[in-house]
Amino acid sequence: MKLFSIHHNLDRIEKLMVAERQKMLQYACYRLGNIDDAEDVVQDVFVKLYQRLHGGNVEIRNMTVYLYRTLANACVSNLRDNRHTTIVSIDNQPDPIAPETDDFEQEYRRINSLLNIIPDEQAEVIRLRFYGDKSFQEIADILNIPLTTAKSRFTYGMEKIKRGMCASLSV
Amino acid sequence: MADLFDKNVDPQIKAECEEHISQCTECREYYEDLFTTAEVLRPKHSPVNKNNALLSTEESLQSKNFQFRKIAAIFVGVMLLSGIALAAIQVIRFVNNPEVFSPSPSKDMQLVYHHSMPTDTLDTDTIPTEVVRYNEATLEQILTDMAGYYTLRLNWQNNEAKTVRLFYVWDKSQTVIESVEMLNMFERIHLELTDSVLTVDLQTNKSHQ
Repeated sequence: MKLFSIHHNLDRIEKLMVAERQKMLQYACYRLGNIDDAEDVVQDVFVKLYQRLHGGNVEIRNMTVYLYRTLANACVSNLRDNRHTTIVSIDNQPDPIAPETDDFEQEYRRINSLLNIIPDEQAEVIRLRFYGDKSFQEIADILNIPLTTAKSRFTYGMEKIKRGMCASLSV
Repeated sequence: MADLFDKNVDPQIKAECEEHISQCTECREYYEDLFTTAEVLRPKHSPVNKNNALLSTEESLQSKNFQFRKIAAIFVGVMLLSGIALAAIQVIRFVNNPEVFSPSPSKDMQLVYHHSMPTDTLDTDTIPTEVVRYNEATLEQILTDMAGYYTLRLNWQNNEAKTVRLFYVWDKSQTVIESVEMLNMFERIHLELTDSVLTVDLQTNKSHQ
């Protein structure tokens, strides 16, 4: 019975990874600004999920909601931990084997600067919508808020960003 | 308005909003502003997509490689099985009829060889054209040969006839009558064929006269 349970859980995690991993990776990537960190965080989230299911006596009603809540918390923790870390380059020469992430880095900085001008709860709805590719109903479930609140946070956040964009242009 | 930016927009709500936007300038401008902002925020250079594209390329290459290997393995397998089947057939044939595979040719095989020869390649003539030349041979010797050949019995009326010597060419293709007539052309020799008995007589000068 225990063996069946383990295989059943592994099967559920495998299906979740196939369905959600790419979206989770993109969400984490635009949250952390680094694909390597994003992959680590997403992997940790799946490991935690497995450990929790394998530990037994814990029932997770909505796996997707649990995954994104854990992912959001893991991203916040990662950002908090890295805030005090100063990366010192060995030399100033660019790494020849490093992937071409210039476009992404510029995009990340621009998007992050826009999302920083709005309250975090509104930014989180926008992130889940655009980078997690979640519907407003799914966002409401993940954030444990009413559907109307999710929609209004999205709308208010977008309006503020629009105004911020206009203000920066006028300056 | 937020419904227009949802993942799965209800078609009815979308149609109603679009209809209203087309008529209401204020709402249209508001939607366009939100749409522009959304376009700014949407990911366009996501490294996740690049990584997945690389992975999918590698996977497709691996799958092509795997398919080629699979086809090659099937081909080799078919060749191997057909070879084993042919070998098994040969072994079964050998067990059932080992003589066919023996290195020394048997009599049957030789017969088959001779039967298979075309008739125009026979090295011997089917019609005997043997000619016997007698050079001063006795009549007894000549007629004994003829009697043996034509299955005749000789009846010598005169013993002196046995010692008569002749130069004679006997063509075996001739009939017995033709041969007897040829010999009767010699002087003094008188042959008479009755049934299968050849009577030989030697005519004296007196009787000849």
